[in-house]
Amino acid sequence: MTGDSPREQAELPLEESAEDLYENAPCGYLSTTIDGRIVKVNRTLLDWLGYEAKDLLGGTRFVDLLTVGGRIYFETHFNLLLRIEQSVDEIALDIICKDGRILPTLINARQKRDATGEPVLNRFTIFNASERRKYERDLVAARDLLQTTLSSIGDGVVATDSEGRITFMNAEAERLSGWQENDARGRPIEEVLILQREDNHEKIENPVTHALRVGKVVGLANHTRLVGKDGRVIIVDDSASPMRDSNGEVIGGVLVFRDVTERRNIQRSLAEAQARAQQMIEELRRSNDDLSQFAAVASHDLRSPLSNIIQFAQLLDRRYGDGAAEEKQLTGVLIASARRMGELIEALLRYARVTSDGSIPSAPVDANAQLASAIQNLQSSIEKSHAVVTHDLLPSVLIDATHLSQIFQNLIGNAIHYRGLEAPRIHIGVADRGEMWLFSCADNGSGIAPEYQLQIFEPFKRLHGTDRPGSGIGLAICKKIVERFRGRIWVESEEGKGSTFFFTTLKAR
Amino acid sequence: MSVIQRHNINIVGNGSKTMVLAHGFGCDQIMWRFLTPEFEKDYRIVLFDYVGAGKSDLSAYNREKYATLHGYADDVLEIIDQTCDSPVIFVGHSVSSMIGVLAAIRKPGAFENLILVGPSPCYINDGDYIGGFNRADIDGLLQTLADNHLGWSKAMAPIIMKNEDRPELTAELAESFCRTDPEIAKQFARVTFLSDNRADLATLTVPSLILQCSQDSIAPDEVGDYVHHHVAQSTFVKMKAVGHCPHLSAPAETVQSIKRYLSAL
Repeated sequence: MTGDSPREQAELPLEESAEDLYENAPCGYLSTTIDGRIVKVNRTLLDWLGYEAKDLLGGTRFVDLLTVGGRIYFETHFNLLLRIEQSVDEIALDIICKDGRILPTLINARQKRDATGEPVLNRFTIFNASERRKYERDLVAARDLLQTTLSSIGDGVVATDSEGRITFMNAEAERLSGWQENDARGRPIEEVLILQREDNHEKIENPVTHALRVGKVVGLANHTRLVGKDGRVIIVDDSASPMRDSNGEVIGGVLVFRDVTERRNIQRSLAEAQARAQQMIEELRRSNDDLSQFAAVASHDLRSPLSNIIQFAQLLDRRYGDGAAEEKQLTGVLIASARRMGELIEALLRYARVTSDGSIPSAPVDANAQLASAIQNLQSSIEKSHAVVTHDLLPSVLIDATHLSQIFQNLIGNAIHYRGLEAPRIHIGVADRGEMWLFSCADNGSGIAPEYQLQIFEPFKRLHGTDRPGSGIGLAICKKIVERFRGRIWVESEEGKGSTFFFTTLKAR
Repeated sequence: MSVIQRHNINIVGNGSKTMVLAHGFGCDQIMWRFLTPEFEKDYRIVLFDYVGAGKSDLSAYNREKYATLHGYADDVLEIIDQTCDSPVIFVGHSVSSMIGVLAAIRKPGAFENLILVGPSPCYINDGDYIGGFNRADIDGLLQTLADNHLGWSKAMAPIIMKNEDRPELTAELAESFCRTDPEIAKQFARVTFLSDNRADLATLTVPSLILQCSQDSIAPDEVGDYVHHHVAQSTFVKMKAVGHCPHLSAPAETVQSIKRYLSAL
């Protein structure tokens, strides 16, 4: 106020009076007898309802102004409370206006008693609460939605106040912990959700307590077990975060957790299975190594007595060579058999020497060079048989160089060896098969009957008996090598027309 | 949990005869507080809360059992069986008057008389029958209950009124006074106001007193008349008391009406 002296203010007439305040208060006033008949009502309420005082003062009861549902509530609740307590606050009731409109209100009431303590009057204060009541219904709807959502989700959710006392538990949290929300509410979360380390069962701080302490989200705690109310134990994954109000003040915490017992069991069995598989691989490798070593040692040790047998047989042959034809024939067979045995031992040794563990060479190997090396080694038999060896331009591959050369040598060697009537024509081809190269070695040889097409890859399986030279180990060695380098080998053949051997190898990247 | 604990049974007064006081929908045994002093000299008085009301054991609530008034009638018979050796005078208010009727039909020997305060066998209008309400009105009641259960959590009792000027009521009492679990209240409201027990009235053989209030918006005069005309051996008293709870609004007239009836027997 500018310029008004205290004196001038004091001289202004006071506009407020008890009567005016009653009539035009910013709330409705209404008084009834104990029976409920309206005996006094203020202007404000009359204006809200559209009535004149005379409409209501002729015996109308307050309940008559209420909706039917409100009337039942008034008679079964409100009136009883008022009679016993003399005081009722904040009851939500709808009043019907003269024109049928509904006025949502909040009502307080007091009962006036006379000197003997007998009730004489009920006084009501009525607040227009249209907006507030609407908010409240919206709030209840929102709360119900939240409740429905929280009870539908598959994770346990527990909320606490800022002291860590439980204020809410959803159905899943009840199920996992064995606690009922009603029993848990108000208790410290540390007391309800007992969390322990999975390994030594030591109690650990609840993530909510932690989150409240540091004011930050506490992430997944690994290897936590939850001991339920009934003693049941489950493994849980959990995380907690503080809840803040709009001012950023921490008002509580929320814990979200789920049962991972099943997942943990699966992980555990998986790890066990892996360990077991690893162990078996180790054992297998060891036994393979032993076997290779055994084969090498055995064949090596067999060679010297064998060599003795051959020498003594030759000695016999020389000594009795000019003797009876029958004796000469016997020593001949003896020497041939011993030599054959020597070849078999050599073959066994070669097979056993394929000890590569299949580790991929660090640099790609040029297949052209290895093919050339193989052809070089076979030069004399190629010339002798007038064989023609052609080939595609070959790629670089991930397979040990010596072994690759060995494969080519075996396949081309076989093609020459088992030739048909014509001079051998041999072609080494290659095709792209995605991650692999598909090599082929096609010939015009005698071909292989279908029933033998698998057998030939087994050690010492020979199709032609002993009438042609050969140890019967070559294809077995090829198979062993190809498979060690993650490839496959097979044959397609037609008797009398020729065979094509195929094998695959990993591509160089 | 014994019946005594389940129903928070309190027994007061002295007398050779027992009077069982059964509260109605919306409150608990405290509603009888102005009546008990008038009868405790001459009667042994059994007070109880229905399951879900007052200080009863909420965990004993069972939606299936209490889906009809028969579930409540079973409890009344059990209470009488546990607390009384001889036939009782059963005083039932509002819905409890019908609960008492059902119990007395089931086991007439347990009852000497029924005092029916504001009885209604059916609250819903049906053809010529005037019950006073229709289905939509009951939905309105359920909404009003919901509006006034705002913020009541499942477990917390509503503390509707403060207790400042009633020091004689202990804080503990105030806390439990007329408290009803919101979900239970909702179902009790449905069972109370949607039941139709008109057909049962004719099978009642226990003598009864009907106390009909003036201007009772819950159980109007037509309904009281209906009960009187369909129940044999019934005495009808129209009271001056206005409203639905004469034992609270006019305890003296209520006591007098009951005493007059009982002494005339």
